Amino acid sequence: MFMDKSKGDAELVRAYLSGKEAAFVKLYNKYERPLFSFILRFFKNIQIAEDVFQQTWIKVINGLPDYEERGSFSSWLFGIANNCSIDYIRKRKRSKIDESRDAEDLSMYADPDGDSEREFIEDEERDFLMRAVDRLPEDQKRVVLMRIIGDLPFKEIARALDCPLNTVLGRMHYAVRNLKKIVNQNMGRI
Amino acid sequence: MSCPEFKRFGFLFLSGELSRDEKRFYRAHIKECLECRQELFDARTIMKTIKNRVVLERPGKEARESILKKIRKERVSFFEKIVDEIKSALLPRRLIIGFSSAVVVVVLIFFGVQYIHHQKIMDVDRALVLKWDDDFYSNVEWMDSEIDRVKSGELLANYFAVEYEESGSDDWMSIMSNDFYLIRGAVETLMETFYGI
Repeated sequence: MFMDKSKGDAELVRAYLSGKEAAFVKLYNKYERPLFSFILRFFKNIQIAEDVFQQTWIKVINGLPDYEERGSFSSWLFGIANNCSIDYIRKRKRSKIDESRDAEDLSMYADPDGDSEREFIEDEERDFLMRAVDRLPEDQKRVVLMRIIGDLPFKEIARALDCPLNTVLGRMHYAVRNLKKIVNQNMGRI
Repeated sequence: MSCPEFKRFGFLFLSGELSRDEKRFYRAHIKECLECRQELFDARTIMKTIKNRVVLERPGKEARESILKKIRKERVSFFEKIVDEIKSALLPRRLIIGFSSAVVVVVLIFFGVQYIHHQKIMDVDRALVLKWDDDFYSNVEWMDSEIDRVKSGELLANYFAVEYEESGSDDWMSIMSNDFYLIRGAVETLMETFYGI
């Protein structure tokens, strides 16, 4: 199943590189929602998420000629998105404006004046489990979101995060354990 | 404390990433291991619940259009990069073409000079040949006149006169019979040589 998916993506990449622009639009449409949702869950700010989303796609376009088909396109794409997110957080950390803020507190990017932003946060408040995901340590959260939102196999997550498969499985294991704890503390056993 | 087999196989089992043998092994294992069954159930429930509740967001229309515009722009610049690469790849070829052209020009000049020089030599040769032709034809004319003389018997008569004087013999017949065949052979050779008769 995973192989067919990545094979189709590789064909679209080849078609785009051979001059068919529509192939790339198809690829973009396929990953638009999962990728944007993945980024948005880190920043909780649509504007920032859109910036990072744009940077991700520009990097993808620039990197396409060097894209190696050894891994799947989705793992490559989410890997770039992950790096762009980390770069953005680092840049914000470096800037004086956000110096006093804690980078681990992801709600810092919430814009209280934005209507869509408010709606997003209100929705989130209704969803306890999603907030529990947001409270996970960064490395565990990335694995959980890549698996659930990006629908990436664990082997591809390992490739995207550039770490061993056992590390990814360990993070997932701890993430599920932490989620269980949070849920048990607040709602009782699932 | 989790079962080590769950850490190794549990999530890969749920995501369908185990090989057939691994799957068979783990299925047999979870029949026996209560801990693994519980872990699997919890993990699957949590992941399924999150998946059902997660809302996949879209970027705003402006952002989307901006990205597609940037993608096209990047695409243009991507092709520009390719063109630049081709140009830079052609630069050494241009040098090669320039060098080759220079070599061709030098070779052409060399052979041109050689040709002109050769033409001059040919002119001299042609002049010599013409001169030789003149000599040859004058010689042929002389030979023709000699043959005419032979034919008319003038030379023969002179020859016999010389033979007669030198031999001091009265035997005209023997002189004539000896020499006649020689002279006839000579005349035939001359006729064959010059007229093909």
